[in-house]
Amino acid sequence: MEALIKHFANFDALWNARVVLLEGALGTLKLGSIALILSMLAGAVIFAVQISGGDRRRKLVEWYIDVMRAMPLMVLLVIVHYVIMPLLGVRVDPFYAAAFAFLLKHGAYFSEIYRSGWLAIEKGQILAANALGLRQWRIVQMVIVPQLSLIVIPAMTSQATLLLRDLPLAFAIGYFEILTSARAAQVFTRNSTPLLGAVVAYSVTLLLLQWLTGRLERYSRRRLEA
Amino acid sequence: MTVPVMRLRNISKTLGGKLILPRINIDVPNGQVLAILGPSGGGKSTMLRCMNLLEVPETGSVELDGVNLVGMKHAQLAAMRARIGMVFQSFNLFPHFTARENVTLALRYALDVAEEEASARASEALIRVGLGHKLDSYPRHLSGGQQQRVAIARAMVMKPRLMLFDEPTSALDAEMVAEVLQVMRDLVAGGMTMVVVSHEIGFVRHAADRIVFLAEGTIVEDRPAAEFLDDPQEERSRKFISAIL
Repeated sequence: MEALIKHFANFDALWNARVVLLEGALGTLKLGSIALILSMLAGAVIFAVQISGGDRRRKLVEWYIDVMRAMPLMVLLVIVHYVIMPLLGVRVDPFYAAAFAFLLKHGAYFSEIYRSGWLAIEKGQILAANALGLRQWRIVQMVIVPQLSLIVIPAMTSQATLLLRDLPLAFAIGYFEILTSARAAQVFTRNSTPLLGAVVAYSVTLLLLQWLTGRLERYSRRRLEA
Repeated sequence: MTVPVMRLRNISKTLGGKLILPRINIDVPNGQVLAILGPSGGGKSTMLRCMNLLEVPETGSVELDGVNLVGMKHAQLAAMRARIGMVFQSFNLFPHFTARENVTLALRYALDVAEEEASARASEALIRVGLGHKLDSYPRHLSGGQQQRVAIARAMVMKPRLMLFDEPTSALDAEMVAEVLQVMRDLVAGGMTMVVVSHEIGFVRHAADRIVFLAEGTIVEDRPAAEFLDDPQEERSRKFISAIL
């Protein structure tokens, strides 16, 4: 029992690893926030291209989304880092490569979320708004956007959780994030407490986001009930 | 002769490759209550939607007080639509707004009425349809009949020249039909010009001035309401009347 505590709940080891762990946590936060913002924006662009263009553009976007769905993130990370970035002539930095790979993949998912939200707005809502004599942008502002946000925010939170959950994969191209740093700490402290601590903190964050998603879902459903 | 409030001239409309309305003509004079009857799929709703250009006809003109709406720019058309109230079968209230906000919205943003005045007018309209106690309720907390009365208040608060009703009671449980018809009767008594697609024969008989019987996109009969109901001339209208009475 004492050995167990010494190995898995050793606060000295945790304290000794604080700098590395903090650096890893910052790496996760940095990549997480940038990748999330870029993915949400990319999703909006992809969605806009999809609904604004003709058949060919729509087909192209559908094909892109299918490819992104099928492609394992790990593979995508490696391709972006070792093939695409050098081809583009961008500085070989795992942070940029990781952010770009996340944008490509999660942007596709976000665009699908926006599209499902768009499809979920009852067409009668647009008819009624037009019949009332509202101008086009007022309809967007007062009728479409408020309802669209209520519909998509839970799904977006859920997607953000998935993105955050995918972040440790960036270690594949040498990006330093929380779990990488925790494993490094495990090695140099010869103790598993830092790793355990990092895993618990990471999992609790994901669980909180999951819980938030559920709350938002219930809230939206209530607000949009007719 | 005075200009009719609504005039459809030579209107055709195709939907999904099927010709729904082949060149239809109809005038609605000021103050008239026109009921449109006919079998489903006969073009009633499409004709109604042509009147405020929710459906854009392929030929002809749609005139509100003599002004043609077809081909207008969107902003101009929006201003004209603000003068035509419409009530839908499925209410189509905005679920994220309260009853009062639903009624206020177009006053504020289509007619640019100041917030306080718009809110006061909305409250007044809701009181007139018997919903003074539900001003701040969301649609989900209202019964179907109450939702439809909010929808009527939302249309009538704009003081429209004309109101269009597209089967306003068809989605309602029987016990809620009466409250909605009562509100519509009040509008008739107030002299509102109305075009009503409805199979509520009792309401049509007592409130409508005129009936147009529409089948396969053509006007089969166009006569004073009581006369038509008591003695339909054509085979198709006779069958229809005996089936729903």
